[in-house]
Amino acid sequence: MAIETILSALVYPGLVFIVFMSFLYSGFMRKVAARMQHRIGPPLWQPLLDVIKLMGKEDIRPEQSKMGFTFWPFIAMVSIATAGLLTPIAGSVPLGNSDVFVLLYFLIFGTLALYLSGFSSSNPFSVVGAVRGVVQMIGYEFPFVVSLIVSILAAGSVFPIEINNFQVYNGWISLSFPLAALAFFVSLLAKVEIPPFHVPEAHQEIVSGYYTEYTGSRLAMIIMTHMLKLFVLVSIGIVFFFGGSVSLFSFLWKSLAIVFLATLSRVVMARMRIDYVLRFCWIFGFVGLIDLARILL
Amino acid sequence: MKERLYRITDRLVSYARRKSPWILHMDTGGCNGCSIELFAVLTPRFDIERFGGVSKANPRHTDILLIDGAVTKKIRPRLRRIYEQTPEPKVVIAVGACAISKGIFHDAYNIDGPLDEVMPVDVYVPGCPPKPEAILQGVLKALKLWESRYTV
Repeated sequence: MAIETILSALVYPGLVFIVFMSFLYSGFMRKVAARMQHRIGPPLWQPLLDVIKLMGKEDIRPEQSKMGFTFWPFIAMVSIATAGLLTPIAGSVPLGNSDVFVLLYFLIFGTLALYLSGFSSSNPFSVVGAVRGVVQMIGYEFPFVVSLIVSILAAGSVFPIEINNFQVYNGWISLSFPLAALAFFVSLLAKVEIPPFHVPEAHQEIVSGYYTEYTGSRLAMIIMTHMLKLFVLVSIGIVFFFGGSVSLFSFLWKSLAIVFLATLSRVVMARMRIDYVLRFCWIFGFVGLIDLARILL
Repeated sequence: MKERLYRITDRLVSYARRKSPWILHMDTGGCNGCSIELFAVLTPRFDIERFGGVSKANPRHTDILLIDGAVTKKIRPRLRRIYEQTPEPKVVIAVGACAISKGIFHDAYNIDGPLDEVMPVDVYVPGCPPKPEAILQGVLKALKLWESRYTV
């Protein structure tokens, strides 16, 4: 019994599986984006190679940087991975059952740690990027929470695994509440910083945004955080809106479909200005509120 | 046992390096002819990403410095700074006649030496401008150099 719990936390729906899948998603995203642009594109395991390469590089710490420079990326990676361990994957939760609020806290804390790493590196570019990231958070947390509340009220439970099972028996929540699903998808794009929402790391304006000063293994941690965030949000989307999953197969095709839609947005869209991002996200928050009013009245 | 482990990680890291070069393109002044050819390498026609390469406009994330154009007096200290900002296992490629030997600007009053007087250069890609194929070959040669440089 005990060995089973440990294995489920570490191997199958656990840590190894999560990291592997997050590499797979971003590799899939890069490959599909390349094919959409008529390029050959990198191999599917490219993100893994990037991370291994970054592990073997010099780790520079700027003289002006604050103390947090060394540990915020690690905390961000760990808390996002914990959020991944609390989400149901193919009908089972790796770390045991817990409610959705813990999941939300870990997600928000991980994102904040990422931006704090930007603040602590004392580079004007990273500080501007981190400020933009925090402003963007004010924008996208509202539609995200509203859409999750719609899903929770529809399923009548705060436990993700029960919402998952509710959808397996009663059909997709996104079909009965499409506006909330739309708000969720917009906030997913904004949370993972996929164009049009890559404002905090705008390559043409502020060098690489909040992780400008990072090199070597810490940069690898930040990149891993991005990939894990994509994985966690896609599995949250499956659990709360897109029908839930009981088998690995349904989990895989649903998640790859969501990643495909995100890739479409990444290839097609240009970057929004930060005040437009705020307005856009809040508009979708109010669109989600329509569904919330429908469920309450 | 320990040595074998080291050898395995060595080979893994050098394989990963060969497959994921991140590139910084820097134009130091001159006519931009080489830059146009370089953009052809980075864009869909010749597509550096099929070798895993990504164009990063940030020296902190860079592995390969692709530098073209004659080195002017203004750019020289900044060029040196960009070289020092790049984390250590790195390779420098000089693209075009101007970067290698000042080219047609060799007697100009504002030119301050070829590129290899500013920083150690590993690969030279001659031509005025070099073809995109030639630049790609230069990058692949630099990768061979880079994969064995200071492994674990």
